[in-house]
Amino acid sequence: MYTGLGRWVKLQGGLRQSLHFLTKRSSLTIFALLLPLPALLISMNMGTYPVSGLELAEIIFSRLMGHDLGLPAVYDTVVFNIRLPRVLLAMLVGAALSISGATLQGIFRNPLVSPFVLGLSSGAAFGAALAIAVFPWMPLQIGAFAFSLLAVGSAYLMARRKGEVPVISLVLAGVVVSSVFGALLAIIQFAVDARSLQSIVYWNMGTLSTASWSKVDMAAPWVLVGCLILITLRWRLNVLALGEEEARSVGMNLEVYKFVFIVTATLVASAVVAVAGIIGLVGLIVPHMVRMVFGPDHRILIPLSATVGASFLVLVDDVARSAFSFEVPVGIITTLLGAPVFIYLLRVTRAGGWE
Amino acid sequence: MNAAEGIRVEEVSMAYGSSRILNEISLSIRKGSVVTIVGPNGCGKTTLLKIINNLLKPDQGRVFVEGTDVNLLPAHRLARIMGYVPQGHKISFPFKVRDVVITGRMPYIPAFSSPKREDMERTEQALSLTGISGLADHPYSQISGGERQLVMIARAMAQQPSVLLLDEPTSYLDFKNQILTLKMITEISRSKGVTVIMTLHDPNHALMFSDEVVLLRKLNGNRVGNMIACGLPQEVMTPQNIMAAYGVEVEIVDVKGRKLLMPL
Repeated sequence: MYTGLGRWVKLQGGLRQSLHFLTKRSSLTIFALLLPLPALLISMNMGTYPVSGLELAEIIFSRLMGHDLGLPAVYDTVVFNIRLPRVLLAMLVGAALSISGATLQGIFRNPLVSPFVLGLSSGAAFGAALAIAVFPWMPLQIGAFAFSLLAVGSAYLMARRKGEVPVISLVLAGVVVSSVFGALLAIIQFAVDARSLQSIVYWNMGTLSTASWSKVDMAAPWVLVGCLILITLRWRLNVLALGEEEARSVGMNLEVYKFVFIVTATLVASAVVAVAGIIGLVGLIVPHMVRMVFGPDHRILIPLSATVGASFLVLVDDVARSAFSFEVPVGIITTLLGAPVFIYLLRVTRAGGWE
Repeated sequence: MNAAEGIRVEEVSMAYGSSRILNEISLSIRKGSVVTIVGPNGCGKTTLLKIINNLLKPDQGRVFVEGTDVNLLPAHRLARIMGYVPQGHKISFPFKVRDVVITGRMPYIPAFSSPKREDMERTEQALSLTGISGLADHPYSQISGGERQLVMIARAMAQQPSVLLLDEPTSYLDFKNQILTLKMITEISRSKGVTVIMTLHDPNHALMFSDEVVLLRKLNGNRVGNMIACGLPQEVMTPQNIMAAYGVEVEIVDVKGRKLLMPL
C-alpha cells in the first residue's frame, strides 16, 4: 500500500515535472513567439467600419492574386490604407519600446529602467516642438529623432569618465538632460500661438491615429535591424546583468558592449517615438510580464519582449480606437496601465535592487 | 623565469588619489600552489587581487601570468587563464544558478553567438565539481550566502582557468561553511592543479589551508613597503610578524601537531 502510493506520488511528480517542462519551455514560448499573428488578425477586424473576417480574407486574397472579387473599393481602402498601416505601426512601436526597455534593464540591472530615463522622450518632445513651431521646414519625425539621439548622447558623454560609464551616473545624467529639454520645450510652448501649442501637446500624448505607410516605412528598418542586433547579442546581457566587475572578469569588453547595447536600444526607441510620439511605460510593463512568466534569462526575454510587446500595443490600440465614442491617445492608456506596475515593482524589488 | 612559476608580481605600487595603498609588492607564485594574502583591513589585499586579474591597473609595476604581462593579453585570453570570485556577490534578477554559472563560458563564446553544447557540458561539470548540481534550477536570489559562494566558484571554474583568484571567500559564511568552502578550494587546487590566490581575514585559516602566505600591513607615512613577509605559513605567521601586521599580541599553540595562533 505504502510503496504503491509512494510510486504513484513519484509518478505524478515525474509526470508533472515533464509536463511542467513542456508547458513552460516549449509550448508557452512558441505561443508567445507567435502571439503577433492572432493579435494582427483580431486588430484587422476591429474598427468603426465593419469588415467581417470573410470579407477581410476576400480582400487580402484579391490583392494577393490580383483578382477582382467585386467588393466595394472602400473595403480595400479601409483595410490597406487605414487599418493595416496602423496595426503594423502599433506592432513596430510596441516591439521597439519593449525590446529597448528589456535591454536597458539588463544593462542597468534594474527592472524599473525604461528607454525614456536617459532623456530620450524629453529630447524627442523638444525636437518635435521645434519642428512644429520654430522650423516648419524640418520634418517633425526628423526633429524628434535627432533630438532624442542628442539627448541620450549628451547624457552618455556627461556620465563618461576615463573611458568608463557608470550606470548610476548615466541615470542621473539622464535626469538632468530631461530637465534641460523640458525647460527648452517650455520656452517654445510659452512663445508659440495656440494652434501650434495644441499640436505640441497632442504629439506629446503619443498616438497611433496618424499612422500611415510612410511612417511604417520610416520606422521599420531601424526597428527590424535593431531587434536583429539585440537578439543576436542577447546572451551577453546575462553576463552584463551579473555586474560590471563580474562581466569584466570573464573577459567581456564591458564598455564596448554597453555602448553597442545603449546605442541600439536608443536608435530603436527613437525611431518609433519619432513617428508615434511618447507612448509611456510600454518598455516597463511588457518586459515585466515576460519576466514573470518566463524568468529573467535574456536568451528568452529579449525575443519575447519584442513579440509580446508588438501584440500588447496593437491590442491596447484596439481599445484606444474602439472602446469609446471618441479616440483616446494610446499613450494615455499605456501610462495609466503602467503606473501600477511600476509602483508594484518599486515596492517588491526594493527600488529594483538599487536600494 | 622558471617553468614552475605561475604568477609573478613585479614591484607593483598603487594609490587611490593621494593615499598610497600598495608599495613595491613583488611576488613569485608557484604553479598549483595555494597562496593566501592576509593582513588588516585597508592593507590592499583586494586591490592586489584585482591588479593580478587586470581589473585594476597599477600605478607602477607589472604582473605576469605564465610569463606574459596580463596587460598585453586580450581580455578573453586572460579570462581563459584566470577565474575571479568576487566578495559577497548579489544580483538584481533571479537568474537560475545554471544561467549564472554558464556566464563563465564567456571567454570561449565568439561574438554574435550563444552557449553551445560544449559550454553546457562544462557548466554541468563545474556545478558537480562544487557539489551544487542539485541547485542548478534554483533562483540565485533564493539560495544561502554559502551556496552563492559555491555558485561563483563554479562560474570561475567554468572558465577552465589555471589560476583561481578569490576575494575573501569566507566572509558572510558561518563557521561550518567557512571550513567547507576552504576545503573545497584546496581540493580543487589539488585535483585540477589550479593555482589559488585568495585573500583571507582569519590568520588561522591561512595557517591551516595554504602552501604559502603573503602577510601585508597597512602603509602609513614613510614606510618603504607593506609586505611584511612571504613564504611558508609557519615561517610567516610568527608572533612578531602578526604584531607588525595587526598590532595584536599572539602566542603559537600546538594542537595535535598543528600550529594555531592564539590572541593573548
